[in-house]
Amino acid sequence: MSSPSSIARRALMRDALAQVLDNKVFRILMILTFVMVAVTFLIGFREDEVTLLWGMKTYDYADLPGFSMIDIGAEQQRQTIDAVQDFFVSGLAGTFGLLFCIAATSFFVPRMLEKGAADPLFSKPVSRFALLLSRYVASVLFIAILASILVGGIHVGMLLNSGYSSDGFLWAAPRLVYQFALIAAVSALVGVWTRSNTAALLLTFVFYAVCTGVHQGWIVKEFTIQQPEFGMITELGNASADEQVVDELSGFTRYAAMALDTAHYVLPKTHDAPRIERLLRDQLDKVFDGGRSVAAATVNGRPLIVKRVGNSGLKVRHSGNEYVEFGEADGPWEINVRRDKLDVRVGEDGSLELLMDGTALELIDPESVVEQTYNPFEWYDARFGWSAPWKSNAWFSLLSSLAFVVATLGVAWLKLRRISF
Amino acid sequence: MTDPTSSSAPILEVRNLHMTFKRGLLKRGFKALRGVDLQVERGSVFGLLGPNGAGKTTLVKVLLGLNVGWKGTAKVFGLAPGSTEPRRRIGYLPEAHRLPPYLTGRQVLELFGMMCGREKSWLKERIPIWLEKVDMERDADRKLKEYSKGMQQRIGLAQALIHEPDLIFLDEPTDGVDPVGRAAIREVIAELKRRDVTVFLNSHLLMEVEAMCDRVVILDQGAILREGTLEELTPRTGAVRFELSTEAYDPERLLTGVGSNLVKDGRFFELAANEQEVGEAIDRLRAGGVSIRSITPRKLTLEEAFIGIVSKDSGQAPPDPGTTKSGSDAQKPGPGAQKEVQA
Repeated sequence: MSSPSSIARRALMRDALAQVLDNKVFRILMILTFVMVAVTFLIGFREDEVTLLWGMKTYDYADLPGFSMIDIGAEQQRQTIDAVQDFFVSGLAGTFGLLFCIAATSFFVPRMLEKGAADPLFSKPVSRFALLLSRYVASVLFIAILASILVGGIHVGMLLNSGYSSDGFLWAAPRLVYQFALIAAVSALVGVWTRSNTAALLLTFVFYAVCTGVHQGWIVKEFTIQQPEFGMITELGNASADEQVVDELSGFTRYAAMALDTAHYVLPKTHDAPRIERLLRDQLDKVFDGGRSVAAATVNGRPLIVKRVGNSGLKVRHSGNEYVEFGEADGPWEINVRRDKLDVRVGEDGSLELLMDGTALELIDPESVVEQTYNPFEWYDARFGWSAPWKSNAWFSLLSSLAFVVATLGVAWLKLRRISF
Repeated sequence: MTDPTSSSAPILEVRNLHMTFKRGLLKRGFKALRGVDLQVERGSVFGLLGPNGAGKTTLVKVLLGLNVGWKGTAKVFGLAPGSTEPRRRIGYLPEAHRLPPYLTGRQVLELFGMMCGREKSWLKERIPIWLEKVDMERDADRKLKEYSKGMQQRIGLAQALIHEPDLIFLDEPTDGVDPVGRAAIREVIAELKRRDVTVFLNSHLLMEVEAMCDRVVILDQGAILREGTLEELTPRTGAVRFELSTEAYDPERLLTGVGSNLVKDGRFFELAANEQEVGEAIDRLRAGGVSIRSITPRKLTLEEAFIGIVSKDSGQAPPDPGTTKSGSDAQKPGPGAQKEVQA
C-alpha cells in the first residue's frame, strides 16, 4: 500500500498532466507538431529525388528552388535530411516553439497562487514545495510531450519514408526540454514573487533575452581577449592568460568585463544547449562506429577534421563548414570540400589516409586541433567539449546551469513559505 | 498535555493568538487577530460570526496553515497548524474558491482526495456517494469551467468532505446555491454532526447558523466578543408574545396598567411582563371575550443578539430589535424575522 505522501505526489503529477493537456496553446502547438511530423511521412528525401505521397509524384532536387534555404539540392541525401530536421527542430521548435511554450506555461505558478485557487490547494496535506514543483514539472512536461512527438515523429517519418535518420538526432528532444527547463525555473520564481501572470510572462522573456545577450557577449569578449588580433583590445598584444588581460583593462571596461563574467557564470547557459546536443550526437556517432579515431590535417592553413559517422559515413569539418559522405564501411570516400576533392581511405592498420586533389595530406593529432576562425561563435563551438578547459567545458555549462535551476527553485520555495494566503 | 486522540480532548485550541499583516513598501502592519482564545470540542457545529474584516477568515487560515507569521499558541489535533498530519484530517471549503477549471467534477474529487492521502480505489467507492449527496452525479464528468457558481459550490463542498475529515471549515457553504441545493447542504452538515464531525461554519445567513450550530463565536476587530451556546447567546427578552384568534380587539384598552412596551401586529401582540402580569393579561383578555391561541416567551434572535453584541463593542447603541428588520418582517413582533446580515 502506498504512503499518503506518495499518493499525493501521484495526484499532483496527474494534475500537472491534466493542466497541460487542457491548455489551448498546447493543443495548437500539438497540431503544428503533427503537421511537421506529417511532412516527413508525406515527403521522402531520397538519394536522387524528392517523392511526394509515397512516390505518387517525384521531383528532382534541382527543380525545387524554394528549398534552397535548407540545403535541399545538395548532393548528399543525408545532409538534406539533417538540414530538414534541423530546420524543424532547431529552427522552428528551438526558437518560436520555445517562446510559445514560455508564454503558455508562465502563468502556471501565478494562477495557482491566485486568490481562491490557492486556498483549497494549500490547505491540503501537501508541502508548498511539492505544489511549486508540480507546477514546474507541468511546465517541463508541456514541452517534453511536444518535443518527444516532434523529434520521435520526424525520426520515424524520415526512417520510413526517406530511409535515413541519424540516431543522434533523438538528442534534440532532451535538448529542447533542458533549454526550456532552465527558463521555466525563472518563470516559477517570478510567478511566486509577483503572483502576476503578466509579470511572469514578461520577466521570463526579458530573462531569456538577458541570458542570450550575456552569453553571446561573453563569447565575443573571450574571443577578443584570447585572440586579440581579431578584437578591440589589440593594443594589449598577446596575453598569456586572459585574467592578465582583464587585469590590464582600465576603468569601466574592466568592471564591465568582470560583470559580464559574473553574469555569465551565474546565469544558465541556455545557448550552450545546442552545443551540448551536438557533443552528444557526435558521441553517439562514435559509439556506433565502435569508437574509431578521427583524423586531422591542415588545409589552406586551417585544420580539417575527419570523423566517422555511423557504420559507413564520414563527417569532415573545415573552416566552419561540415560535409558528410556515406559509402562502404571500409571506404573509400570522395568528398567535395569547397572546390577541392578530398579522398579518404582506410589504411592497412585501420587509420585514415587523406588525399586532397590527389596529394597526401600530412596528418596531425586530431585532439590538438583548434580551428582558427574570425567568427567568435565558431571559435567557441570549436573549443566547447566535455574535456575542454572549464570556461568552455560542457560539464561546467551543464552543471552550473542546473545549479542555477536548483537555486532558483529554492529561492522560490523560500518566498512561497512566507506567503500568507 | 491532553491527548488529542481521546474523544474528550479539544480538537482545536488557540491561546493568545495574534496575527499582523505587513503589506506595502513601508510594511505597515494591520492587526487581524488580537489575542484570540478558543477551544473547540469534538463533534460540535461551531458558528463563526463577525462583521466584515473581523478576522474570521484569518483565524481559519491560521488553523489551516495558510497564514504564516502569527504569534501565540495554536494547536489542531494537538499539533501545530500547517503540519501535514492535522491537515490530513481537515476539510476546507473556502469562500469564493476557484478549483482547477481544467478538471471535471469527478477528477477534482479524485485529485483532492488523493492529495489527502486517500487511495484511488478507496475514492472510487466514495466519489459517487458524495456526488449524489451534493446532487452533482449528472454533471460530474463535465469540466469545472462549464459549471455555474452553484455547481462549483457543491463540488467545492464535496472536495472538502471527500476524504472524510474529522474537522471541517465551511466558509459560506450555501453561497450561490439554489434553495434545493441549500437544503441538501444543510442535510450534509446535519449528517456530519450526527457522525460526530466538528464543523466550523462561517455564514452570512444567520438563520442557517441558528438552525445548524450548537455553539457560536462572535469575532470583531480580531478579538472574540462572545462565545457560547445558542441558548446563552439568545436569552429571553422578558417580553411575551400572544397569538389571539381575532384581530378585532383593542389590547391597549384591555391591558391598561399591565406590563409595558405593548406592540400590536394583527392577531399578535408583544408585551414586556413578568409572570404575574402575564397571568393578569390572560384574565383580562378572557374577560374581554378574546380567545388566546398561544403564549410564547420572546427570545432574542441570533441576528438581534449579534447586532447587539457587535454594536455594544463598537460603542454604538444597539439598535432596537424592531428596527433591525425590514419590509414586512419589520412589522411583525417576534422571532419570525430572518434576514441576511453581514457576518
